[in-house]
Amino acid sequence: MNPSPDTYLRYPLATRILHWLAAASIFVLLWSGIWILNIHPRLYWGDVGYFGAPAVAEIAGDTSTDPPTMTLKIGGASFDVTGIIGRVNRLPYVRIANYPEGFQFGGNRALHFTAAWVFVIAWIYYISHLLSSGRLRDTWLPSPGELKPANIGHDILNHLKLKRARGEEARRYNSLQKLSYLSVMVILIPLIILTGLTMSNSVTTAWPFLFDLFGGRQSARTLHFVFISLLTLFIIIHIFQLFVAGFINHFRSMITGYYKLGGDRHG
Amino acid sequence: MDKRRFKRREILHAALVGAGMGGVALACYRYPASIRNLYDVADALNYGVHDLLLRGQPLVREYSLAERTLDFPTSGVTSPRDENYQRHLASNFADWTFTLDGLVDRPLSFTLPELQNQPAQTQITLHTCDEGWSAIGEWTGVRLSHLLSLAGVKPEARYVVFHCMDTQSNGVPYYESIDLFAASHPQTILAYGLNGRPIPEKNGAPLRLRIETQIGYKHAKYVERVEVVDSLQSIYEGRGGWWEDVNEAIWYAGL
Repeated sequence: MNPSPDTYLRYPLATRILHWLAAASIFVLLWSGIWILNIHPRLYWGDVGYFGAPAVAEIAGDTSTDPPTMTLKIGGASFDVTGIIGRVNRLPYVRIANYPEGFQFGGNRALHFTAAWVFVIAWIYYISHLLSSGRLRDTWLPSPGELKPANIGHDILNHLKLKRARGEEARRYNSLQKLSYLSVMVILIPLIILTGLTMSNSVTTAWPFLFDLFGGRQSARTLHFVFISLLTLFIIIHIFQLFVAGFINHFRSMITGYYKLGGDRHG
Repeated sequence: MDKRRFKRREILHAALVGAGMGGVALACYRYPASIRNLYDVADALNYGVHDLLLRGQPLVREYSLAERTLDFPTSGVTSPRDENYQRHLASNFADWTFTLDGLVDRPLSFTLPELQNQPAQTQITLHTCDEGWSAIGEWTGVRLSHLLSLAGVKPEARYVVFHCMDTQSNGVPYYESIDLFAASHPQTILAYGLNGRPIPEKNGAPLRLRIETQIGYKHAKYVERVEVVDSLQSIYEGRGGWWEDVNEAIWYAGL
């Protein structure tokens, strides 16, 4: 590839490899995580939670009707989700959905932990790359000027108008991009990893303070779900933004590394 | 810019990657079953890292009497179909015996009262099932390390296998295994009491394993024989436990 003057290396190789490793492992983690939640689709607070104990969120089935009525309960609110989510499998157990054929719960857990290793190693590697390469300071940390309410307001307005960054402006992340990438990488992902670890018996034996940090085994499980939901929301917005900002140019730049300024129209 | 600093960073980088790969190789080497795929590599890594975390045998958190879950939930078999088991249950395990054998100097054979006459330990701990539920129980029993030292473990021994009385869907009785290090944890006990009473049938009467540093399916219920071995390869399909053999469950169940 012979880059033209308005084409520049936007993403170093390490960023690209880690982006796709993270994307693949997050996809596998979400997939296997749903099937783990499926066997006990109830969320609790504290250390204790089982069929019969009070739940903060649950899918409950009323099997007196045919077909059974499904209710999603969150706190005090109830939503009728009959026909959308909830299956009765081997009374009286309610699942989110039926398992795929040949599904093995043990193997699915093994898949979740395998993907978690890939994800955690990629995250640690990326954080150390950000710190050691200066990329954190150069491209991610907002300057004091960028943090001024007027500037953030301007960027929010541009986002709401789905206005695409042009020319030199597209070279750098704007304040919202910087803040959202930074909070996902250094707040949300560590919280997801730590709540996951708080579900491990041996980790909480070694580090009992994790129970105090997250409020207990079941609270950690509930928060793991909440934080993953936030990450999923980020990913949906991230992909949506890709279409707004020029899908081909951005998608290509995360593969080849090269981004063409003003090239999104014919890119 | 500074060539020497750049070089130093590359050396550090290569050393870290090398150390990581060495760690993975070591973890796979000490894994008790054959490494067939990436799942087994992850399991070996879990085992290696958690073993480091638990080096000092820290104790799990204990709870108060008031926090106990009185009707203790269950998973898996809750009433073994086996005639032999039902006969023992009907007679309150009066002529039932527990054995500890394998790679030991003096195999043990105990009736239930004889087990109950061994030094007893009570602990109120959180039980977590791999399905996601958890409950607090007060467990009374005898330390596994006490029984192992009575029997005298041979130097070549590495693992402890628990043979149970409940026949599973594939016609094989339940079995599980842990390494000697986990077996020697001060809170690893063979329990005969739950919440101040004999363990109910659904929770594993008359004897079940409590391995507090690991998750539910390791806590074998209806245990009748403990076997000390040097390898798990010859135990059924060689993966170290019933779920491990039939359902691809990971052997190291600290998570």
